[in-house]
Amino acid sequence: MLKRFFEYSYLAEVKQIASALHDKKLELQSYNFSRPYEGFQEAEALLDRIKEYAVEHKIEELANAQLIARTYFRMFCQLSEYFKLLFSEEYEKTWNVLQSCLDSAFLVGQHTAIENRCEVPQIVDLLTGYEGLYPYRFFGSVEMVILKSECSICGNAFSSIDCPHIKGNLYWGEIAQEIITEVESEAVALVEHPLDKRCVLMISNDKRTEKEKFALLIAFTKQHISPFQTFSIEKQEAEPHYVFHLGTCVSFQEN
Amino acid sequence: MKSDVSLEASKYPFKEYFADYSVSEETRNKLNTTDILILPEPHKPSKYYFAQESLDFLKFCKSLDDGVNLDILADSNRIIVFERRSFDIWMPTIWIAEKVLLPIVVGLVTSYILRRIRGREKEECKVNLSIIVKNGEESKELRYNGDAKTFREKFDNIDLDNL
Repeated sequence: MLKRFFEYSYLAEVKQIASALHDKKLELQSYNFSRPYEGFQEAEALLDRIKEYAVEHKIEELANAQLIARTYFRMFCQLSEYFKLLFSEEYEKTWNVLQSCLDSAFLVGQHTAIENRCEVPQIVDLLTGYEGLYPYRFFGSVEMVILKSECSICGNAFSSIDCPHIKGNLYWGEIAQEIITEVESEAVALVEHPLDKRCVLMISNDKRTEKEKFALLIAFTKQHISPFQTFSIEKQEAEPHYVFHLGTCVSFQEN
Repeated sequence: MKSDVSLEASKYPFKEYFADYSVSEETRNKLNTTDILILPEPHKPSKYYFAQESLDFLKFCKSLDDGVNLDILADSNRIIVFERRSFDIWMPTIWIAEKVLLPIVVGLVTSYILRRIRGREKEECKVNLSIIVKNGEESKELRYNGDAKTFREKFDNIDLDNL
């Protein structure tokens, strides 16, 4: 889907998006994280125009592709925001931004063939490495009974035969979502692999300072390794308790 | 090592479900007219909830439009889903009218799993699923609780004659 978007290069707006993405990637490569969302608002306006064109000309593929291109662009902005917060030592805030960036990467990956995902798999590897530096190991996962829900595309009851839309699929540039309107909460499970890692579990009387909680993340950033260097963490009994093994660097690509 | 697939006589409580939910005759009759049915799971006394992926799986199969006679065993106003916010895949209990349909169901589930993990292929993901195979008056239940990536392989090794 990502590749298909840039194949509509006869549209001036697509060319402008490619150019804006090029600038954003240059900004990242020069470690300039000062204005993470610069250029994104303008890009969104262009993408809105592309969507209108797609709907008017009945090209559903283009309508869907612009959503993926939008998410791809947003992912780089989120990546920039992540490093901005990280280097400003706002560790607590970085977690949700990291998760949002991963969500964007996953969405692009979900709708793009593996061979056309550009930097996305490397960014997932990079951020998954960073996840390992946080003190979060278990997450809250809500178990609930859905009594009523609607489809975000057609508005019908999600369970009705009148609604053919499948959650997560794209329809004319929109993602089908289930809007839950009546729910009974059953339990909160403690899991290692939830759908959403934003629900972290913390000990209520944890007296540690932010620096103590995020000691491993801080220790890693103090190594002055390129922020785009992928890595893995090895735990060991003796000191140092963690060893970082460096991998490849994210290589930004032309679109 | 514990196997990911188990096989046992099915004890699915059709009678209790039909009585507890006053299931209509039309819905009950789907057991005689449909090849593949998605069933709710007994959750607690007199409560029957559909597994998280039930509706998407049903819609996914219907969208393939490949002539498979598939439906959901519930009155339209009694479809209640139990959702677990986990990356693991909680597939429904699937009832099939004949054992020869098993390879078709396995193919459908495999396609659905691949679609579901697309973009996150490297992550560990478990699949939870039951397939009830009707064989005359008796039924057997195959349960799978294992890796999403090895689902197909595990089911391909099942000998239909043993069902």
